[in-house]
Amino acid sequence: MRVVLDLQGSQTESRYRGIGRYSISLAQAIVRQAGNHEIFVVLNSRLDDSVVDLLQTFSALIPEENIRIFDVPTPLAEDRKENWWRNRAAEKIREDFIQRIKPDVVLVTSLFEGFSDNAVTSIGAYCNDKNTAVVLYDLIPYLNPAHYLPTQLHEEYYDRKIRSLQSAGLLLAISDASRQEVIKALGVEPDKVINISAAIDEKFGQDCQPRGDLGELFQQLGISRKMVLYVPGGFDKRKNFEGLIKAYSLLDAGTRENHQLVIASRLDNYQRDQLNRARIESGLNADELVLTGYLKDSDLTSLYSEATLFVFPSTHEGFGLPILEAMTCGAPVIGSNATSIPEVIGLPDALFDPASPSSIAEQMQCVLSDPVYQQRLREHGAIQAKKFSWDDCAKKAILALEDFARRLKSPSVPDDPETLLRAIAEIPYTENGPTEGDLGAIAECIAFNLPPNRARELLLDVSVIVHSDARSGIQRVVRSLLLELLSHPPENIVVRPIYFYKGAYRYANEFALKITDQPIYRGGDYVVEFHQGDTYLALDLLAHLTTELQGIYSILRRRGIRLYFLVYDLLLIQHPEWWPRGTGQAFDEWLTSICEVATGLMCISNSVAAEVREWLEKNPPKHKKIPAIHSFHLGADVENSVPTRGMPDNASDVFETLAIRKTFLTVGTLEPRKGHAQMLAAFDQLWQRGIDVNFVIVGKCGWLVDDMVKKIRSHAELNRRLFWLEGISDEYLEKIYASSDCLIAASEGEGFGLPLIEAAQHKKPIIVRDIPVFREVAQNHAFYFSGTTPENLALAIDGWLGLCEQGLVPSSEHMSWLTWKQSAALLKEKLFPEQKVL
Amino acid sequence: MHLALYLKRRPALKAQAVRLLACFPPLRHRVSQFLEHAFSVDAAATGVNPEHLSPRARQLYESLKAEIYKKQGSS
Repeated sequence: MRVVLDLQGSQTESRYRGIGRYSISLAQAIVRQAGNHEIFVVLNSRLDDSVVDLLQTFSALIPEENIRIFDVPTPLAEDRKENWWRNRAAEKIREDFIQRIKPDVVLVTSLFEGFSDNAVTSIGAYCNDKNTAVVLYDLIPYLNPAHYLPTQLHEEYYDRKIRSLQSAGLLLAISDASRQEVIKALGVEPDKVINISAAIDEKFGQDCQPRGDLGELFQQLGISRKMVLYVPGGFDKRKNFEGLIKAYSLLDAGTRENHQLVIASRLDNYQRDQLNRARIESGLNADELVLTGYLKDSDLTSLYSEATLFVFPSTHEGFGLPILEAMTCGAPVIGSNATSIPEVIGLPDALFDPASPSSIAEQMQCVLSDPVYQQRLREHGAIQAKKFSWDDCAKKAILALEDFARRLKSPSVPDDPETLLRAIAEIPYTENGPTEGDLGAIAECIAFNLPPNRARELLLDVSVIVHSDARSGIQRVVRSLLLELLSHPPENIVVRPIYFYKGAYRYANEFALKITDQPIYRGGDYVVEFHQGDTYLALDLLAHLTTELQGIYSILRRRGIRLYFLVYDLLLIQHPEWWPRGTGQAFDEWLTSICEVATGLMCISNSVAAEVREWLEKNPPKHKKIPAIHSFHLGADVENSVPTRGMPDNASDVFETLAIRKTFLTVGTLEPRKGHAQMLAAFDQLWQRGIDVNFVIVGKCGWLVDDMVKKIRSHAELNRRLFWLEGISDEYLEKIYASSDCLIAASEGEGFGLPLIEAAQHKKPIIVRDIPVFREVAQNHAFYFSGTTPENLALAIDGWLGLCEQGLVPSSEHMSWLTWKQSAALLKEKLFPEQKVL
Repeated sequence: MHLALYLKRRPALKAQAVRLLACFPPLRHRVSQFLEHAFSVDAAATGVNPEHLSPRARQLYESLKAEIYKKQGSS
C-alpha cells in the first residue's frame, strides 16, 4: 500500500500546538510501523521554513525521494476574499499533485488549516479523491459556533472544511468521544470513523521524580505550598477556569491554607486579568492562585511530579493530553465526566461534573484529605498512561487505512496537465482574480509540481563571469571548477552553469558552449526550472545581488533545492578598510543573507572555515539553523584552469635582466592588504645597503593604492632592478616563476594562497608572512616572517639570503597541493556525500 | 563583483558609461550586458512575471490563458 501523508498540520501555526505535535508524532510512528507499506510525506513550500525542518526530520526516516514538496500560488489565506480565486486554484493544484504520486490512500493530518495562512487542504475540489482519510480532532467550533466562528468569513470557511470532511472516505478520530461526536453531529456512517486515540512523546517525563522540596523554580513561580495543578492546554471558555476557581474556594479552610491552585499555561495580560477577577469574585487570596505563564517541558514535568493533585475540569476536549502527561509524571489525576476525558482517565471514581463547582470541590476535597486515595490514583495513573502510545495509534491507523484501501477503487487521475488547466479556468471569477501575475504563478507552480522532464542538476551560479571575466583570483577559481565539474560531473547528475539576469535564473548555455560542445547546451539561454533534489552552488561572489537574490533563495530552499555557497574569505568584514567604502557592508549583508538560507558553506581553506564558524557564533541566523560548514583546497595546476597565452615584445630583455642577480617575485593584484608598500620599502632599504637583488611585482593595479603606484612608476630602479608586470598572461607568468629565485607573499590576509603553490610547483623557495592560512598551505616548506615595518621584512630577506648561501633555506619542493581535478573531486564529495568520488 | 556593486550604487554612472561605450562598438554589447546584470532588480511579488517562466511553465501559462479566454468567450 502506498500512503501519502499530508503534513501541513505540522507546518502552520498548528505546529506550536497539539495538532502539529499530533501530526508529526503520528506520522513518525506510522513510518516506524509501516512494514512493507510505502510512505510518502507531502509538504507545502509556502509555509515558511518549516519545510526545511521537516525535510531534515523525515529524510532520516524515509527515502528522500518519498518526501515531496508542492508549490501553490500565494497568498491563500481564506480570511481575505481577494485570495479566494487563488485559493480555489491552489486546492486543485494540490489535489492534482498528490494524486500524481498514485497513492492508495492519502491521510490529511489536519484539515482545518488555511484560514489565515498559506495552507491548502481540500477533498474533491479537483479529483474524485475518495481515497482520502482525515484525522479528526474534534468538532468544537461546529458545536459552538457563537463562540468559535465570530464572523461570516469564519463560518463560510468552516462550512467548506466540514463539507470536505464529509467527503473524506475515512476519518481517524483521536478519541472515542470525537468519533461519537462526528457520527452524531454530522451523521457520518459509523464504519467510516475509527478511533486511533492519541499519546504523548515517549520521552516525556522520563526523568521526572518527586524531589520533595519546592526548589528555586517554585520560588520563582511563587509556589510555596502543596499544589493543586491545572494545565489547560489553551485558553478559552470550555477550559472552565471559572468553575475550577469557584470550586477551589469551596474547599475547607484547612485544606486551602496548606495548598495553592496553580494554573500552568501561556497567558496574555487580558487572560491574566480575567483569571484574577474570577479569583477575587470567589474570595480567594492573591497567594492562593499561581499563574505560571509559559513553561518549558522540563519545568512542566517538575510541576506534574510535585503536584498533590492534578485536576482537569474542561467541558469539551478532543482528547486531553495534559491528563496523560500528569499521569506519566506520577500525579494523582481527577477530571470532568465530559467528552473524551473519562476514556483518558479510565477511572469512573475520579470524575466529576464540570458544570457543578460543588461536584469539582467534593472530588478535590476527597483526594486532598485522603493520602490513601491519592496513592490509589497515582498507581492507577501509572498503569493507565502506559495504555497510550504512538506506536499503538499508528498500528490502529495502518489497520484502518489497509481496510480502507481494500475497499477503494483507484481514483481516475488525468495525466495531462491540460485537464487541470481547464478545471482552473472553470473557477468563477471574483472581482480580485485572477491577475496576469496569478496566471504566471499558477503556471510556475504546476511546472514545479509536475515530475521533472530531466535528470537532477547541479546548477553552478556563474552570474559574474558569464558577463565578464576580469581574470581575478576568484574568477580563475570559478573557471577552473566549472571546467572540471563540466568534464567530470557527479554520478547521474547534469552540471549546468546558470546566471541571474533580469529577474530570473537562466541557463548559461551560450557560455557553456564555449567550453564544451554538448547538445544539452544548445537552444539559447532560457529560464531555469528548478526542481526538488537539484543542488545550487554559487561559485561566483554575488554580494552585489543580495537584495535581488534573497527572495529567490528563500523560495528555492523551501522547494527542497540544496543551496551551497563558496566562501573565499571574510576579509571584507575583518578589514573593510582594505576596500572601497561600502564594499565591506555589502559583503556583510550578503553573508548574513546566505546564512539564512544556505544548506552549506564551502570554504576554500580550514582557516576560512574556522573564521566563518566564529563569525556565525557571533551572528547566528534568525532561524537559528547554522548551515553546514565545509572546507576544501583549491587546485593549482595552471594548465587546467584555461590559461591565457601571449608574451610581450620585451620579454627576452626582462629575462636577461632577471638572470643577472637573485630575483624575488611577488604575485597578486596591487591592493592594500597584499603588503606591496612594505615590500617595496624593504627592497629600498636592501638596495641602499648595497644588496644587489631584483624585485618583480606581477599583478594588476587594484584599489586604494594610488600613492604606491605613483611611487613605483617614478622609482629610480624601475626596469633596472624593480619590475612591475601588469596583467600578464599565464604563459608569461610561468616563465617569470621559472626565472625567479624566491617568492615573497607578504599579504596580511588571504583565503587560500595560490601563489605559494605555484612557486612550489616551480620548486622555488618562499618567504611568507606568518598568518594561519599560509601555515595551512605551506606548513614547514616556507620561511616565515612577522611584522609590518619595512625593517621587519628587510631583515627577514637578509636572513633568508644568509641561509641561502649556506643552502639552508626551507625547500618548497615537497609542499603538497591539489590539481583542479582533485579539488573538484573534494568539492563533489562535500556536495554529494552519498556518492563515492574517486 | 566590486565593480558591479560600485556601479549599482551610482545610477548616473550607468548612463554615462553607456554613452562612452557608443565610441567602442565591439565592447558595447558585452559591457551593456554586464551593466544590465548589475542593475537588474526583481522585488518579491505575489504573482510571477510571465517573462520569468521556464519554457514548460511558459507553455502552461499560454494554455491556461487560452482556456480562460475560451471560457470567457463561451459565457
